[in-house]
Amino acid sequence: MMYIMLLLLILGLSFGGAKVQEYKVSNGATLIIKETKGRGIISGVILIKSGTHGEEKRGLTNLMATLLTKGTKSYNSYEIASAFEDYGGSIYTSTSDDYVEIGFSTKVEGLKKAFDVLKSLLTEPTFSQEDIEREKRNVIQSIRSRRERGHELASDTLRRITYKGSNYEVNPLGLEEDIRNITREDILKRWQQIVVSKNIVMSLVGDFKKEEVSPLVEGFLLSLPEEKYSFEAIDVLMKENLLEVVKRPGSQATILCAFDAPSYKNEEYFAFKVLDSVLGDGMTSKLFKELREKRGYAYAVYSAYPTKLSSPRLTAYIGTSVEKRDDALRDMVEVIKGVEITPEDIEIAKNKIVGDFLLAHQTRLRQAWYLAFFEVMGFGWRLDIEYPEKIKRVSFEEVKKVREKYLNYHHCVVVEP
Amino acid sequence: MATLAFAGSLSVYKLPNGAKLVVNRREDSQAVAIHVWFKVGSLYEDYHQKGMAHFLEHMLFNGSEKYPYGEIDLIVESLGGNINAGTSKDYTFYHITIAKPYWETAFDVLYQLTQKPLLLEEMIQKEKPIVIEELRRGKDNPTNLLWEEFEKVIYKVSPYRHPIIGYEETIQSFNRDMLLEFYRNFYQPQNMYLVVVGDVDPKEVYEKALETFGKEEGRPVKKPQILPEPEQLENRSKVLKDSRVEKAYWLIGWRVPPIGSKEYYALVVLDQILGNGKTSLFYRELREKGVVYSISTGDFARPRDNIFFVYATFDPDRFKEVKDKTFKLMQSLRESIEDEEVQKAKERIINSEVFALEKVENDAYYIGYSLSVVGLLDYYKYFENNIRSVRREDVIRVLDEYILKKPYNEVLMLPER
Repeated sequence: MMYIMLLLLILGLSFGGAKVQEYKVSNGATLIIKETKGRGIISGVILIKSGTHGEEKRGLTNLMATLLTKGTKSYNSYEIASAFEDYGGSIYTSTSDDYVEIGFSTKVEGLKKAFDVLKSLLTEPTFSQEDIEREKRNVIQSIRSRRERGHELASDTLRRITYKGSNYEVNPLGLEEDIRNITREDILKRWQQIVVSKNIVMSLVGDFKKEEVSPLVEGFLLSLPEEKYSFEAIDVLMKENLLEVVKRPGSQATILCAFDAPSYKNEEYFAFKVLDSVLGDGMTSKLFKELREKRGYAYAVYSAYPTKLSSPRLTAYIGTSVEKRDDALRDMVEVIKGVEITPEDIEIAKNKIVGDFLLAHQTRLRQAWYLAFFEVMGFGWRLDIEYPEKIKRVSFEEVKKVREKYLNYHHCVVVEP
Repeated sequence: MATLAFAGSLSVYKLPNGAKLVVNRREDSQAVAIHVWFKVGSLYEDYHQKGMAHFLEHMLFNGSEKYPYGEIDLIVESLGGNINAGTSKDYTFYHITIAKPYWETAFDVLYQLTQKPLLLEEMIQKEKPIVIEELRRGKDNPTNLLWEEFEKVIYKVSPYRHPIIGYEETIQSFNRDMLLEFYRNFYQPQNMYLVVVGDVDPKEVYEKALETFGKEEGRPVKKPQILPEPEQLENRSKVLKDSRVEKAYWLIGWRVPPIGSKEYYALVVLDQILGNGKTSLFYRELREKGVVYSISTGDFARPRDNIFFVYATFDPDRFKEVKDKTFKLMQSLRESIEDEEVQKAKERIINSEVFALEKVENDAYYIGYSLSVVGLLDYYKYFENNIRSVRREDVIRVLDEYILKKPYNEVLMLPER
């Protein structure tokens, strides 16, 4: 009972107490604006629904996105960075499985400049041959460097076995041989294909009056071609248990497993989020208590339930000494599938999720990210407001039910010396 | 009640037992950060105690007088808060970030955790394999080995040469008596700094501090003998080979003024110009021209024997070229740097502080670091003014006197084929 009361109190809070407004731009782009109060700073996130879906040469999207900040018809790479860094902010691009992300921070007085630059990099990137060749070398090196660390090697190996047949099979950085073969025409084609209005969600959070900024942002978004890039997210079902062992010199074994989980489109999503938290989030979690505290297998052990458009998985990690690896792997699977869970565990986990969610909203950049993320994934940005309530409504019975329904199979990778 | 100073919303108190309390009231956040800092880190250990400051930090989570083992995690996570701790070479700190209504509970938790630990022998034995797994996890990452080796090359006498986590042999030898002695030597009110940042009434926090931390009588704090590093007279180079790495990793460093000293602020500006962000000289001239894969600069922010470093990755056969160009760029900066560039760098530093302080925990960290490591709250309070006062000639002098005219230390890690 105590925990339920505490939860209600947490839910009454919000960070910033800000107002959110959604605009549908006439070309189909989505704009979400949130006003905050503070020392005149702004952050924004542009998510382009695409990611690596439909990529023929693996790594093309990431390479294209990286090149966006390397030069446009109006600005060179220094001028692009300078437009944000001069105000103490920054700009970055990244590519994940389901979207391309452009994030930035600046001060209110730098906003006009920021939008001039953003418009230029989305509508008139140069993609010079020199930049392409240099960035290809960089990406190839980044792909190779993922073999240096146990966790990254395990993660890429797990992708290969658990997402076999879908775009998730390969890390967004791509494949070395494909990167080599990417041409400027490929890059131009991908840019024209995905940087289109109907795939774009932009969120802007900052210390401004929305009436002052919305014309500026809408003008920017209207410069994007009115088109839509459609793709089908391939769902890979898990049908059997798999284990792959990879040899790498080192002082520990890295174990990474994937388990079948519900789709984010399903109402079970929220119950499964709570289950993930019970199992592997924080010092009260089952994996931490059982594998670290009781059995001393590891310093780090946790689970995650990333939100993806398809092939949903719960993943779990443990890093342990070689002599403990068999016990650690067996017990990790056992804990995830079988350890007893009580109603009290559920209440703690719910509070943990809600608390973390609110604490994660401290920066304007993260606030902007959540709004854009929920919108681009199809939940709608309002989930940013409703998320704590959705988590709160999850019952012990629902968590028990999803645990019984899913987690039937596991795909595991052990990287060991 | 002894109020030392007020700066804006900053309230500074000294408790009767010598502990210091700083409250930064911020109405822009619903989150509160509560930090407890101790001026003790691995630097304060003698030869047989290597790893003890960090091990003790782990042990403080293993039960206190009021809260048995496991209960603290349960309380904090049930309230949606985050609790953690960190040990460095110069300091140890314990911290909770939590929603505003629960700051008092969090304060009490940190009081029990840091002032009333049980340090039971059976829990010490339970913790050893966990810490040893942490040590092995660190060694599993080749770049950690590079950084460890870098400090061994730089420091021939100073205890900075030892890793924070210690060694398997020392960790295995720890027992209750050893830990109690170390704990009593350093976890004293006179060595303690309490920091609270958030929308809380400073007077209420002070009253709460008097009821908890203020009740501790306290003993004198041990004055450790920390050997200073003698002047370096020659360049030092070391090459490491690692079969796991795919590119060359290079660290080069020089002895520079300590954090908080008058010349330190010119070093911060120099760091911004050379290697901070995409507008920096090294990024522009080396990363964007395809000479390196990555490059950055920084300093260890140490109160003694501080180090400024350049960190780069590149193809092994380009080492000579990278090193030559790094020195040439610094030399040409020395010859041709203009007031405008210094001014721009200063603005970037000052503006970026606003973004860094969006999170209450970052704000609390800077205050705690200022108090315990720098030894002066003035570092935090007047950082902006001190940066503003840096002139072009100050930057040139620091570059000249501490870097270009002084011997360096470098470690190059190469792939072993």
